[in-house]
Amino acid sequence: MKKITFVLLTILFLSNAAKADIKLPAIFSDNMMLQQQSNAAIWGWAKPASRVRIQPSWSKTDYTTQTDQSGKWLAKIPTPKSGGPYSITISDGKALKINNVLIGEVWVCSGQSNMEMPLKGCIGGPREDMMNTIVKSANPNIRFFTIPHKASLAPENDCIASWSESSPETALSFSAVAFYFGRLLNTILGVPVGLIHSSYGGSSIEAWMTPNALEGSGTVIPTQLTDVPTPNRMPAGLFNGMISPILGYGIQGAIWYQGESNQKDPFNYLSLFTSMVKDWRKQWGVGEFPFYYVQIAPFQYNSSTSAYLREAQLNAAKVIPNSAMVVNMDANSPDNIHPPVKIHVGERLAYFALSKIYGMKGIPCNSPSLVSMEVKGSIVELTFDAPKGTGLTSFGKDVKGFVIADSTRRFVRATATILANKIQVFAPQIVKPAAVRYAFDDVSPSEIFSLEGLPVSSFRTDDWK
Amino acid sequence: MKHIALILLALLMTASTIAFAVVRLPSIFSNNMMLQQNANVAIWGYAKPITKISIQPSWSNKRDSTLSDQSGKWKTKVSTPPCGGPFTITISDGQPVTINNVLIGEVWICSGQSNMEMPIKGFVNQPVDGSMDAMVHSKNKNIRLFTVKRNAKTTPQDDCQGSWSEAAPESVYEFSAAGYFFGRMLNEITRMPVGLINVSLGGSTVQGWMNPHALEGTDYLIPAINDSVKSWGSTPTLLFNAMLNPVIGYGMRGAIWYQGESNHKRPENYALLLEKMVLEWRNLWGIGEFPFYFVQIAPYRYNDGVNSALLREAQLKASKTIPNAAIAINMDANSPDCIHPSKKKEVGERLAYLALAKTYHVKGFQYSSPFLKEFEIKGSSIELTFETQSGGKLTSFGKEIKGFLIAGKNRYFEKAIAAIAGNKITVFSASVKEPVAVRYAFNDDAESEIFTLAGLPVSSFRTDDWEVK
Repeated sequence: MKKITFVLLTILFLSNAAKADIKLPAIFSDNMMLQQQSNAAIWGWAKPASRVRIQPSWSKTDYTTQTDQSGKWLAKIPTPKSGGPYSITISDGKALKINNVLIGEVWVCSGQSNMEMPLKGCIGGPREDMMNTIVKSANPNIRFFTIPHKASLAPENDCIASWSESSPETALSFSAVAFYFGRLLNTILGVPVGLIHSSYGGSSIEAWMTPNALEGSGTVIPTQLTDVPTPNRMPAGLFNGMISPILGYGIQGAIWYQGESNQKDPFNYLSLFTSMVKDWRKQWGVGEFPFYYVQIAPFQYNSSTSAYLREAQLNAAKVIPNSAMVVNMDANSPDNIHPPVKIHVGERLAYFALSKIYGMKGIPCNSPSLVSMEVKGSIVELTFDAPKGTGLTSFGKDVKGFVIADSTRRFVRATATILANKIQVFAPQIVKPAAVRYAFDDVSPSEIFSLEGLPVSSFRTDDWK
Repeated sequence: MKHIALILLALLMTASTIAFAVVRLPSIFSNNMMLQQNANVAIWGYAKPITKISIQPSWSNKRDSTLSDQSGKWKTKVSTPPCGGPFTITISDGQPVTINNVLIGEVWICSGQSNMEMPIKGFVNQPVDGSMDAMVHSKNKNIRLFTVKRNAKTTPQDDCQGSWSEAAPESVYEFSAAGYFFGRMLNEITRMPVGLINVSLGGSTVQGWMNPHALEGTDYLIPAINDSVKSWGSTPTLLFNAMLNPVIGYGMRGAIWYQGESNHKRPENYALLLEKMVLEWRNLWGIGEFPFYFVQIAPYRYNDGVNSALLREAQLKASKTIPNAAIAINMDANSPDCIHPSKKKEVGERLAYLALAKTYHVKGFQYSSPFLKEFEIKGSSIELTFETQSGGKLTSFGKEIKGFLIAGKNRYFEKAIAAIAGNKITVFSASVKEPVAVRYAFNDDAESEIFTLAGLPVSSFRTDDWEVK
C-alpha cells in the first residue's frame, strides 16, 4: 500500500515537473491596465486540454477555462469600477501572478510618425513644451505600453513589450499625442488611463489592414519578406506584427493619426480607411468602439494632393459610425512634417472622448464645418454649424485662404467676411460664382476658428476633377 | 360617516392649499447658493402678512425667527459659520421650504458693462482667450455662479431672474469670463468656496447703476415711473432698479467692476459719479466699506480724440479717492479694433491679485501696477519717479518705448525718447529745450509699453492738467 502511494506521488510529482508553466502574451504583465466595468478578455497558453484558473484580487470568484488543442486559452473576466492596484493569479496547478494591475480606461493609439513622435521629439522635430511636460509626468495612474516596430507576413500572437507607469523616464520616449490625450482624460475624470501605443513612422494605411479588409482595393499582399521594400508600407504587415498581438484586449476606444504616407493617393483613402475601422472593430469584438482620429496638418508636400487627402478624412467622419476628427490646420509647421505642437492634438482628441464617451456636457468639441452654400448674386454665402450666438472668428486677422470660381472653373483669390456663423466670399472678377474653396492646397494654414479656437478644415464646395 | 370623511377631505385640501407656497423666496436664495462666511447675512422673502417665520440652517442648533410685515415681507439676519458645507436652510411659516446644497464661502458681486458681461464663450465673432481650456477644467463644486438676468425698470425691484449653479463646462460657458477667472483664482489660492453674482449689462453707463439719491446734484434726468424703458444701459437708474436692487443686502465680501467705455464721451464727471455710486452701494448694503476693485478700460480706437485717455485718468483718480478701492490696469489688452478684448484671464486674475493681497492678506507679491509718484525737471529732460511695491523696478521687456510725449510752456507736445532706470524714467526730446510736461500713452488706442517686472502694465498718464479738447 505504501509502495503504491509512493509510486502515485512520484507520478504526480513528475507530471507536475513536466507541466509547462502558463505563458502569457506581453500585454498581460505587471503594471498592466484593464478596461473598467467590462468583460475583459485574458488569454495565454498552457498545455493542451488543461484547466486554467484565474483569480483577480478584486473578486471573490475564481474563473476557470480550458485550453484548446493548441494550448491556447481565453477567459472573460468582469472588471470592477476603476481602482487598484490589484493582482491577478493565473494557475494551471502552478501559479503565476501579475502584479500592480490597475483598472481604468484603456485606449489604443495608432498611426504613423505624428502618433509615434515621442515627448522628447524626433530628429529634426523638436517638441514644444517638452521639458515642462516631462518634469510633471510622474503618475502611477497613467500606464504605457508601446508595441515595437514589426512587419509580419502572418498574424503574430505576441510582441516584446512591457507596461510601465508614467514617469519622466518612460514619458520621454512615449507618444506625445497619446500622452497628452491620456493626461487630460486622467486629470478630468480622475480615473486611471492605460495607453497602448502601436505606431510606425512613414506607415501607409494598407500596412495596418488585414488582407480581408484590403480585398477589392487592388492592393497586392506580399507572400515573402523579400518582396517588401519597406516594412512600414507592407500591406497587412503592421496589422500582423503590431495590432494582432493585442487584438481583443479590452479597450474603450482608439485614437489614430495617419495619412501623410497616403497623400499621393488621396482618392482611395476614404474607402481604405472606412474598411480598416470596420474590420478592426469586427476583429476586436468589443463592439463599435469610438474611433477618433487626426486630420493631417498642412505641409509643403509639393504635391497638391494633400488637400484631397484631408477632404477624404473630413468625409470619413461622416461615414464611419462613432468616429470624430480633430482638425489640425493650425499646426503651423509648413516646413516640418512633424509639427512641434502636440498638446492641441492630444487634447482635442480628449475633448471628443470627454464629450461623447464620458458624458461631460457643454464642451464644444467639434470644429465648425460647412453646412450649406448659397449663391447670392455675385456673393457666395457659406453657413457653418457653429452656434449663432458665438459664430466664427479669424482672431482679428484678414482671411486670405478663399478662392472662388464661376463655371469656367478658374479660381481667383477672394475676400471673405465673417458674419456670425456665416462667411461671405466675393471676388470682383467673378460675376456668377459657382464654387468656393478654402485653404485647399498643401500648405495653407487655418484662418477660421470656432471661438474656442478649433480650426475649420480646408474644404471645397465643388466636386470637380 | 361618508359625509364626515368628505368634509374632512375638503378641509384637508383647503388647508394644504393655503399652506402651499406661502413662504416665497427671491431667486438669489435658492438651491446651490453660496452665503458669505463668518457674517450676519440677511435673508429675506415673503409670506402671509404678520406671520411668524422660522429659519433653521443645518449648521446651527439655533432656530431664528422673524415676523412678516403688513405687506408680507420679512427679513432677518442669520449668522454663518466659517466656510464649508454643503448645508441646508429650512424656512417655515408652518409649511417648510428647504434650500439645498448651500455652501458657505466668499461671495463677490461682479458688475459693469459688456466687458464684465462677456461670457467665457465670447460674444458673436469675439472670442475669449483660453476659453476651451478654462471650460474643460472648470468642474468645481466650490465655485458657485449666479447671473442676474438682463432687465431694466423705473422702480426698484425686489426680485430678479436667475439661479445658482456649480461651476462646470455648461455653466461656465455662459458666465462672465472676467468674473469667472477672478473667482477661480481666489478659490485656487485661498481654497475657500467662492460665490460670484454677475450683475452686468453690455453698453451700460455708470449712471444706469446708480439710484436717484446717488445722482442728486448731477444733471442726469431720472425717468418717471411710467416712462417707457428704451435705452436700458444709458438711462439713469434703470439697471440699478431691475438688476442690482434685488441683490442689495445679500451677504458678500466685496465687488468687482468693469465699466467706463460707455462713459468715455464725458470723462470729466466720471470720477465723481463712480465715487458716488460706490458710496451709495456701500450705504445701501449696510456691511461697511466693502472692497471695490475695478478695471481700467482698455485702449481702443474710439476715434474720439483723447476722451478715452481722460476716462482712464478719471478711473485712476477714482482709485485713489474711493476708500478701500483699487484698480487693475488693462493697457496691454491689445485689442485696438475690438472693444471686447479677448484677454479676460489677465483682467480677472489682476482683480484677484488685488483681493488676495488687500482683502485676504496674501503677502509677498506685487499686486498693483506702479503709479507715477513725482516728476522733476532736470534741465532739458524730465525724470519721472514711480511708486512701486517693495522697491520693484520697471521694464519695457527689451522694446523701445514710443508712447511718451513732452512739451514746453507752449503746450505743444513732441515725441520723446524714454529711458528706464530702476523705478525712474527719463524723458527727453531734442526739440523741447525747456520741458514742463510729459504724457504717456495718452490717446485712445496706445499700447502699453512699461510694466513691472512681473508684467503689470503702467496706466497712461500725464503730468499736466491742461484743458484738452
